[in-house]
Amino acid sequence: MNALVPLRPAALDLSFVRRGDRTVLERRLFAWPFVLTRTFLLDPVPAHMRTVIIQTSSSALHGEDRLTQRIHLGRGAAAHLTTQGASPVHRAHPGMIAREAVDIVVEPEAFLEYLPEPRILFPGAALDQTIDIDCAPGATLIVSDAFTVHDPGRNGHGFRQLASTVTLRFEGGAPAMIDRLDIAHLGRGRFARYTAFSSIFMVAPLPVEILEQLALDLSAALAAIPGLYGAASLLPGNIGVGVRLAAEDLRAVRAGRELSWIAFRRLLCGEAPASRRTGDDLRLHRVE
Amino acid sequence: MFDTEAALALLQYGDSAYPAGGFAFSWGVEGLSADDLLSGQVDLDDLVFEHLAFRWNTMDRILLRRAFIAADLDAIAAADRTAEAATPSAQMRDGSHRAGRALLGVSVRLGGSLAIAYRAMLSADARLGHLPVVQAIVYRDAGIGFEAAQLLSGWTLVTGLVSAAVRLGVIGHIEAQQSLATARHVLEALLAETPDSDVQPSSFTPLIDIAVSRGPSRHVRMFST
Repeated sequence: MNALVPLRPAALDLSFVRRGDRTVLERRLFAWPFVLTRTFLLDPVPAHMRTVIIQTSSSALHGEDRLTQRIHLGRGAAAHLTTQGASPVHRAHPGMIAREAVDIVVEPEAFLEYLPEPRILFPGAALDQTIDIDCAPGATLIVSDAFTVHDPGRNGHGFRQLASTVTLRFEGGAPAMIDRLDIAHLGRGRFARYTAFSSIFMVAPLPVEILEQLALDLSAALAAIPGLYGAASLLPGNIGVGVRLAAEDLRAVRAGRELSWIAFRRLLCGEAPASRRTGDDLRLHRVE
Repeated sequence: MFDTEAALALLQYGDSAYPAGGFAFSWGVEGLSADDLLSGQVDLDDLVFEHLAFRWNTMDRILLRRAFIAADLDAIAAADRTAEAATPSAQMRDGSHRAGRALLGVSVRLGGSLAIAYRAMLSADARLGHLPVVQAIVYRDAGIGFEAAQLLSGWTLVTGLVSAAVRLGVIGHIEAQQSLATARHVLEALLAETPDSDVQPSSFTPLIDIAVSRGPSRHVRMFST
């Protein structure tokens, strides 16, 4: 461990509020390495959904990084947050671990889509990330987390540690859902072929029958994506639907994530979202 | 010194004939086999390793310990609610519930005092009754120590997986014994290290989660999970 390496705290603080028929980014505070440019209104429905691309100057995470994000959606606001692209997590010095903490508050009737691009774990990478969501009853959200491993030298050197925790609670209560992993390597044998993963959590105040049908439809549709192994099921307390995806590469995982997002949006809004992506033509895979 | 009484208790509670409904659960063996991701002994050994190292050791074992050292029923229930919240897959939750409640039912019939008291709480909270928590209750009632309780919890998972593989025709009886021997070494290595007392439950078994969660989409299946 290099004791002279300074820790690098950084913060992003965004607050969205609803004003009439618009969602306004009322507070946008950010410090290096975060970068924010303009926001976008891309969707016919919900027309007030504001899209923000969270960028960092290096687009990568290093062992000494200490990043924090705070995202707040006021009553009735709608926001779609993503990142500029898949972000490498580089090798950390022994004893060091990159940390990122995301705190999300979603007030009643608000609608959040938090869909950051996947992490790419390089050899020796060490990352501890948390996403804490405090959600009001009646709010809607979709949150995803994804990663893959990359071994450019193909010498079998993997990441050192990945800890990732997504916690969802309502109005500050006990966790309604916790998805936590803490691993130092992937599986072995046939399982080791799978190196790209994603979890998606969709929460909405919908009847359980509708959520069950969404899970069934999603599971069937995910099975049609080449190279993807995935399934959807009801989250604890029937608060929504969770999706697990695994594949040998990120492309299939991205396709499954896009499909899930589109299906959720169509269920809620009656139509697919406007494209935020480039490259993959993911709208080939739709849940009708 | 060999503890005959403890060994006999392990044999009784670790016996696959113990009437706790374990035969109804394959914990992904059936689904992965149906999806062409598991065939033969090597794959099964990898699956057992995945279950033990990436879920049992980091999730079930932690919850078992919390329930085993819990001072009262409320503390046990807190561990149970954590199990519920920390299992995003509905089918995995359902399997854990069903297996746990079946095991608890047997202990109630056998007169286990803690089991009887805890079952009274279950009717008021549908989140309660997860397998590792109930295992702690049942083994406490049986007078089994914590070290042995961990062993039983891990070993009954192993025998359930291997038994399911035999019944599904993935492996034969001789291969099953070889897989059990391999799993013994995995479990022994895991038990040799004690998790920190403040560690939070975690798991990373995406392929198993997916295989089990795809259950409702399958037309024919033998097992609940």
